[in-house]
Amino acid sequence: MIEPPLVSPPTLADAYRLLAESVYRPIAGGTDVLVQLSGQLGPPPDRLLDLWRLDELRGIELDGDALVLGALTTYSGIRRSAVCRDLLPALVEAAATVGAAQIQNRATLGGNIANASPAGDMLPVLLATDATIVVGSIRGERSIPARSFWTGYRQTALRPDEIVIRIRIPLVADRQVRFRKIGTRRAQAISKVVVGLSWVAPTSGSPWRTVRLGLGSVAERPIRVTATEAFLEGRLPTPDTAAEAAQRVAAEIQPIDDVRSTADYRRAVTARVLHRLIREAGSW
Amino acid sequence: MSVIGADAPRVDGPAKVTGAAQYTADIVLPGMLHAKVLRSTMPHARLVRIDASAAERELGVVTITRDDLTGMDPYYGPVVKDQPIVGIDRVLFAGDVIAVVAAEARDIAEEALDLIEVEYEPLPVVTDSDAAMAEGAPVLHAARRTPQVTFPDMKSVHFQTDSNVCSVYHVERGDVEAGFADADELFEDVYSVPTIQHGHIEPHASIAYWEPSGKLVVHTSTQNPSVIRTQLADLFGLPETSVRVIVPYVGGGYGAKTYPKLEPIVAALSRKARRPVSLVISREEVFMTAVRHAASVRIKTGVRCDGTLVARRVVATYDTGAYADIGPRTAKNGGYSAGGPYRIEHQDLTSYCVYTNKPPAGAFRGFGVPQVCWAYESQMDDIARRLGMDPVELRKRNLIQENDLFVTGDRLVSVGLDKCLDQVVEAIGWRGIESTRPIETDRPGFVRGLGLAVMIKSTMTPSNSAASVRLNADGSATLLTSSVEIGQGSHTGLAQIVAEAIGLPLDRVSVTFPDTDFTPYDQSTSSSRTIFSMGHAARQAGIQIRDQLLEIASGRFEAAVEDLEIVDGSIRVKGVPAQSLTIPQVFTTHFGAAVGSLFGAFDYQTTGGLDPDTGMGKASAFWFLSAAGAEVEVDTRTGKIRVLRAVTSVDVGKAINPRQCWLQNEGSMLTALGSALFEEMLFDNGQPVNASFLDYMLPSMEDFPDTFRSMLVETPHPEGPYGAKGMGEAGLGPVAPAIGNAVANALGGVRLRDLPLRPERVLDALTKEGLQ
Repeated sequence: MIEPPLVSPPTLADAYRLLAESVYRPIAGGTDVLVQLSGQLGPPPDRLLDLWRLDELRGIELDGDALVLGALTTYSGIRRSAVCRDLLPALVEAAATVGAAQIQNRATLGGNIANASPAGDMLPVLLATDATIVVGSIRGERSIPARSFWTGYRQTALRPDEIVIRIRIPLVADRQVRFRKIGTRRAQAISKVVVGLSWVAPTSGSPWRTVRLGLGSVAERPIRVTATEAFLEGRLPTPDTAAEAAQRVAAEIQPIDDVRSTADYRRAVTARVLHRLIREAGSW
Repeated sequence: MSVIGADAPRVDGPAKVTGAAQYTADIVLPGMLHAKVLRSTMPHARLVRIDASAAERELGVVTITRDDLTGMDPYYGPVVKDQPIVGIDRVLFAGDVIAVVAAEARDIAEEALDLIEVEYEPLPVVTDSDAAMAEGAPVLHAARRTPQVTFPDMKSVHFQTDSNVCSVYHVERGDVEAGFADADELFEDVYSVPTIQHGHIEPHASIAYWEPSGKLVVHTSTQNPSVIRTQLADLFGLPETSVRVIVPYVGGGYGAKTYPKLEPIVAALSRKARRPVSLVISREEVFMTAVRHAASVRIKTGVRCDGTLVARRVVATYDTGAYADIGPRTAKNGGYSAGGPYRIEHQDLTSYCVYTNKPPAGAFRGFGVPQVCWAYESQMDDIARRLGMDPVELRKRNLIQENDLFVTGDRLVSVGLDKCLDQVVEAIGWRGIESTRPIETDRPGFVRGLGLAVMIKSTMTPSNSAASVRLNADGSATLLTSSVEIGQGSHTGLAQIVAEAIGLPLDRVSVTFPDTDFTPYDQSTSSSRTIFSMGHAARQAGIQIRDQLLEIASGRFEAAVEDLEIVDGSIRVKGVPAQSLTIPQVFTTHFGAAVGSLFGAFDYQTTGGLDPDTGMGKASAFWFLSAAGAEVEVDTRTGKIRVLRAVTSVDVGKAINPRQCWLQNEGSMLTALGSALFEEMLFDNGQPVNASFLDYMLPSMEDFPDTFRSMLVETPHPEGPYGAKGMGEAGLGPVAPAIGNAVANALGGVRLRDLPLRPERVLDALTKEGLQ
């Protein structure tokens, strides 16, 4: 295994300066980067920029009507956070499905976002909650909506000198968020399908508003299925709605066959999971 | 108090829990080099050119390529000499060994691999056994030879050389066609099981060096040191006394560490380097070193309306990959077991061991039986369903019984299968035919089902195990044995047997690690034979010591030997506790001082073997019989299966250490659960695509059933020590079909015939049945 040289800046400002000077591969918990290095998946980076010491990128807090998570927030951190459990349990649920305990202690939300795997477990939840990814560089900060952050297969809107610094998730009154992951086994499995769904409804009898449906492992990047969302907008979670939405989402996605599943399965099960989530919401 | 039947704590427990236990990769020898293997990127190719000179020149490493092996016969193999130390003219699977490098450090060796130039000329590829057996398929091994020393039980296997069929085994009884004609109903199906890997935690590891005298010393993570010694002696033209094989703790193997794996490579490298060489392979390489046979099983059964099985024909094809390894024996074992543990008047059983361009398949816990058990036990439930019978009643009507003749002609003894099945029926709450119906849940789309299955399996026969026991003057004893402590608890179980045989407290007995210079011959730590065979030898050796102690004490007490007993290391006159001697006192009586040692030694050979023409004779020294039950929940919307409960019952003859037996069963159950639901090595035109723990799915702790129960039946075996039989593999075979039957029952009879029961397959099957 080739071990590229690694720099560990003590402050975010130092990190920005280094990134402005040359190209680094940022590394936080290392749960993706080390696998790529030891598995020789692609050419190794020339240099690594260790973000682990940057306490500025830690912490989970409430900022007005938003939940703000530092990029170095680990999955264990999310699972242990009372704020997350109270305000966004779907995020906690998603964090609990990622890898094993050892992985959850090291792997970070920012890393999951920057790694841009189409199967990234957290990403459909971020899509479903209209999260904003805040990135920073020596040139300053900018906010990128989750829906335009992943631009292609393992491609992001990050510029070479930028890193993810925090994630801002708006908290919306009367919003429901659901998460489902279908993997081969019950733990430590890369997903076949990941679903994040949210809608706003003051009561269980209210029509759905602001529907968001984020999907993982069914395209070359995490996606929102806007046609299906548009169909669900303003509807009640009835059997007809569920059946029609399931058909529409199946038609809207173009998954592929790979080592973990088949296109047919992904299409069918995405539709069925959506159907089940709507049925559960409608309690029928 | 007897230590037999006691849940004695593991003697190796503290060392393993504290990390003090030494494994092969922990061994560091002065001047030791580290090796890496250059592996083929092509599944089948002619090796046009191999040039390692740049690696040697630029990095000063030592390499072995075919050019280094010109003065010797470089082929080895326990049954067929078909596997070269490094590629000679061709490579036969993606991952095959082309060259090996030894360097001062592992990363230098790795760097050196990039400097070795290889030119391939691709050849046509066959990756499944059907294609390999088809007319016009490329023949992978045109010339095959058997080694000088092979195993007596291989005489019953027919070797072929004109096709990819390596070997064929056949046995028949009665007239199968007449039986089919006589039957009321016929069932004919094809079942399949994919290539899987053992998933042992410790990867293969070996270290070799040559002493100035010309003696080859190997430290290795192997299950059969005696066979490694024989094979290395054969390869390097040495007497067996010039090969010394030492085995420390082994971190699991499940069959993957039987027969030569890395030993020939390190031996060749260290001979050239004139320094010790260590090779520890990566997880990815483990997938290229040993796998379980994929198999396709065609099974046809004729049944009467009353449920009597009349006739069965099975053709089982085992994909042995690029090299035979122990595949011919695996296929033979599966072949005669394919009728199952049933009285069937007419049987016609054939198995093929077939070469393909895949990693070599060999021994895997269950040894060829789980593949056929998947087929016959799944079909058994289909038969019951069509006849409208309770599957338990159908099985009971046909189960083999004590003293029955097996298809091979074996007279069966120690057959507690009825009891095993009864225990499973009770444990999972089976209530007759009603239990074959789906169990509704309060969650829409989720259904549950119960299922069960039984199994019969043989052990390697004939085979040899020799033990030697040494009693010291302080009353401590050492068992010298070549049995390997591979995690199964053999050090504990064998110590219990020796303690009981002599009459010592358990903590006075220690068990050696194998070292072929000092420990006597043992055929193999496999086939669940250690407690039965080595236990038998160890017990007899212990009894010899006991007899000597009693003889000496009888002179001292002037009492007859029959009036003496040994309890907790004191020799005393029965009923007269005051009249007792400690072991040091016995030694003083005998040797004049508390010095010297007493010896016992015993060589146990099980007898048997099968006739080459008829496939009949005595297949097994003892028989494994077991039953399993499962409750599953199927999510019919996603096809995902969850095992809620799994239970097994195994006839162990006599449990030397019940807790260890339960743990062995639990390991078997978990392995079987993985193979039933998740595990499958995938290949894309011969290229492995999921050969890592990232994508090869072993069951996780979350997949453990909520109820996981292991039960024992004790039907004593006349030759087993204290009645004990082997049991390490027994719990595995019936678990996958029990899960499959539970899934079929949950789905109202929808039958999946291909493992694993992936959610994609479940959904496909439901769609085909029009149930979606």
